[in-house]
Order: sequence, then structure tokens, then C-alpha cells
Amino acid sequence: MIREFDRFAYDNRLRTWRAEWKLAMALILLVLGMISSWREQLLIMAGMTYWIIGRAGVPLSLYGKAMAAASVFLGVSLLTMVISISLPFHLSISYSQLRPAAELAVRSLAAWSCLFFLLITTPAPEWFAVLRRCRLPAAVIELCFLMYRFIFLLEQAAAELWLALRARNGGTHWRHGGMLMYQLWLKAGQSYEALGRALTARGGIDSFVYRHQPLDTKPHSIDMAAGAALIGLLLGMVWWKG
Amino acid sequence: MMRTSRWVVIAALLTSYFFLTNEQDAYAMHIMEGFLPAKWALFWWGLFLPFFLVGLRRLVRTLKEHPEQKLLMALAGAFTFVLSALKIPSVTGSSSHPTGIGFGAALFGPWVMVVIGTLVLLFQALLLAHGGLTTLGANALSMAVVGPLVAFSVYQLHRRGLVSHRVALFLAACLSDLATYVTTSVQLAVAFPAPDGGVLASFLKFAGIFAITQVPLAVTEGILTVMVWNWLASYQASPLFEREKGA
Repeated sequence: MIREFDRFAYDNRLRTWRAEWKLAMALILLVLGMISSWREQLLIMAGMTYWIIGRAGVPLSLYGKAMAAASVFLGVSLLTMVISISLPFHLSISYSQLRPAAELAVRSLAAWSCLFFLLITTPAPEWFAVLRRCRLPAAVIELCFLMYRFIFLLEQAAAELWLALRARNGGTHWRHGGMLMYQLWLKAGQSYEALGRALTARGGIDSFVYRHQPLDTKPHSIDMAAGAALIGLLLGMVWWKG
Repeated sequence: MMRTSRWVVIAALLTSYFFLTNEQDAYAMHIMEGFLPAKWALFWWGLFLPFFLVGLRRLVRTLKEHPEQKLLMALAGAFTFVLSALKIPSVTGSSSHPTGIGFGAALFGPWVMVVIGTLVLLFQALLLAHGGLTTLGANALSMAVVGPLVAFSVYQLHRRGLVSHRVALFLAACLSDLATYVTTSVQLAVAFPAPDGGVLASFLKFAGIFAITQVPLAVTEGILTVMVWNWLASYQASPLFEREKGA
């Protein structure tokens, strides 16, 4: 799914909206979601769904698939919260826990939708540029940038190795996992050597000057107005309830 | 409260088992975004940050002295990320996701893995929406702090001559996974104590349900780590391995 997410991050209708604005809106809504009640959280979720599907143009199926994958942890944890097991094998459902569990599910999904909004509308290099402007150490930004590059190289290599393994009736025994890890490690070594050589040929690998090519941004007045209205409404609701 | 038969318990456990080990992305051990209450999210962030800052200081110092290692660190992070997304057959027949933390801690030391592990978690949140930003403190403390520290401490047993190299590697990878999972269970238990039985009962529930995937994963990862190390040692084919050999 990582390639699909990355593709949409580069190719969505909110791509031309400044990364700082998207980041600020998502973080404010995330914080508000953490401190408010389920009504406000449902509103945040609805707002994010509007921006992700309606404005950014992300297919509903992809959004649903991502949410389902993220909900594995949520489902298991909620099950653990509402069910208690006592010896000898007696199952109890605590009805008093049902409401807190439902509220927790709404909060988690609202917060997750803010995170997903960031992920699907903003490519990682724009993140790094924002972090750099926030004066994070250059070494960390460079490390992030190189990691981002290697992740896709290795992910591709892992997918090809796995395909080759399956094509030869492999991938059924846990020992094959070891083979895969080992071969991936060798591929990682090759990528390391290749990039190292390429950089050395261009004057050494002591420091990278990470330059971000800024994109032509548009004001996105409708989105900014809608975002401000939602934040204002949520702040009003939180203030109203004290 | 409602009581039902043992068959319901067995059905619930089987459902959880298949739910946790399905063919979709079952990264079950990172706490989801927004799951922890705000005060607990802040608490774990506060506890994690000093470790991260120490790790970062050491990393920046190392990179100043050996700038060529920047590529190596980035590669180790990417390798850990990709490894955690691989579905490989587990000893129980289900699929599991190795973390590579034990392997990395043995190869690079615990403090480098604190930063690399944190960056891996950050990338998992920002590239896969797995884990989260509010829960990054809690997740990083369990996977990027406790995991590498346990792995490295156990790996030191070999250097002191107490156990063989293979046993030390197996234990380092296996116990770092188990320590990560126990820490996550503690984090969940203190945030959500059970109405009857409190934190301890809640811990037993969370640890019990996650043991279904995490114990086989830990054993699998321990075995795989030894296998990979043996192959690397016999072929000596990877430049990445030279660091440990030279250390």
C-alpha cells in the first residue's frame, strides 16, 4: 500500500496547497480531537473525509482499505477492553466498558483521519522541508531523506525477491523468511555501495545539501475558509461545554 | 456482567488469532493514533524524549567523526522499515513481521538504534498511517528504546563469554521482541485499567491477547537472526557486516 499512498501524495488535488497550512490544520484538529468529546471527534472525521475524498480526490476504496488496516489494533484492543476472561474459561462482557470503548474508537479514528490526511496529501520531501524550516538538525533531515530513498529501493527489491521465491514454490516455510532477509541484506549492501560510489564520484559523501524544489502553490481559499470554519466551530463547542 | 461457555472463549480466541494474523497488514503491536488519552500520550512522550536526545547527540557526534556512516545508518533504518512490512511464514504457520531491532542493536549498538527505530516509527506513521504522532512517544519507548537496550544487554552476555554467539544472538532478538510487547501491554494497561482487577488484570488481558502473535514472532525472529548472521559470516559478502566485524 505504501506505493499507492506515495503516488497519491504526489498526485492529489490538494498537492498545490502549502504543506505548512495542511500541517497546521491537521495538527490543530488532531489536538482538538484529543481533548474534545465524541461529537466534535465525529465532526473532525467528517471534515477530514470531505478533504481526503471530496477535495483531494482519494478513492473511497483506498481510504476504507487504509482505515481497515489501521483498525486491526483498534479492534483487538477494544475486544480486550470489553471482554474479560476468568478461569476456568468463563467469558464476561463488561457492559460498563462498552460506552468508553465506543468513545475510544471514535477518538482513535478521528485522530487517525488527521494523520491520513497529512500522509495522502503531502509528499515526504515537503515534510522534510517543513522540518528543516523548523530548525531540526541538518543531519537528521539528511538521514530522513536518505532513508526515504532507500525505503522504496528496498521495498521494490523485497517485492521482487518474494515474487521469485513464490514462483519457485517457496515462501511456505519459516526458513524462507531467513533466506529473504539475507538476500535483502545483500541487496541493501549493493544499494549502499552503488550510492556511495555515485556520491564519491561527485565529490564525497561528507554532507548532503538537501534542496527542496518548492512547488507552485495556490491559495486554496475554499479549503482554508472551510478549515478555519471547522476549527472555529470546534473551539466554540469545546468552550461552550467548558 | 454476562457469563457464557468456554466454547465462546475458544471462538473469541480463534477469531482474535485469525484477525491478528490475517493476510492484510497486521502490524498489531504499534499503538494506533489517538488511542492513548492525552495525558498518557504526553507522559510517554516525556519519558521517551531524554533517551531520544541522548541517542541523537551520540548519532550526530558519530556522523561528525565518520560522515560516511550516514548512508549506512539510513540504510539500516530503511532495512528495518522494510523488514517490519514483510510478511514471512512464522513457526506457528501464520505470518509474522520481524522488527530487525535485535539485529540492528547487535550490529550498531543500542543508542544508534534508538534514533533509527524512532525514525522508522515516524516513517511508518507518515508513509503508512500505522502507529501515530500522539502515540509516537509510547511506541518509540517500547520499540526503539526498550527493545534495543534489552537486545544489546543480552548480546553482551556473549562478549563476557557467558553464552555462545548464536545463543546470545537468538536471545537478543527474541527477548527484545518480547520486551517490546510487554512494554506496550504495560502502556495499555496503565492507560486502561480493568474495572475489576485494575492495572494488573488489564495487563494480563492485553499481554495474553497479543501473546498470540508476539510470542511466535519473537521465536521466529530469534531463529531468523541467527540464520542471517550465519550466512553473512560464512559468505562475508556484505559491506554492512564489516562494521560489526571491525568493531
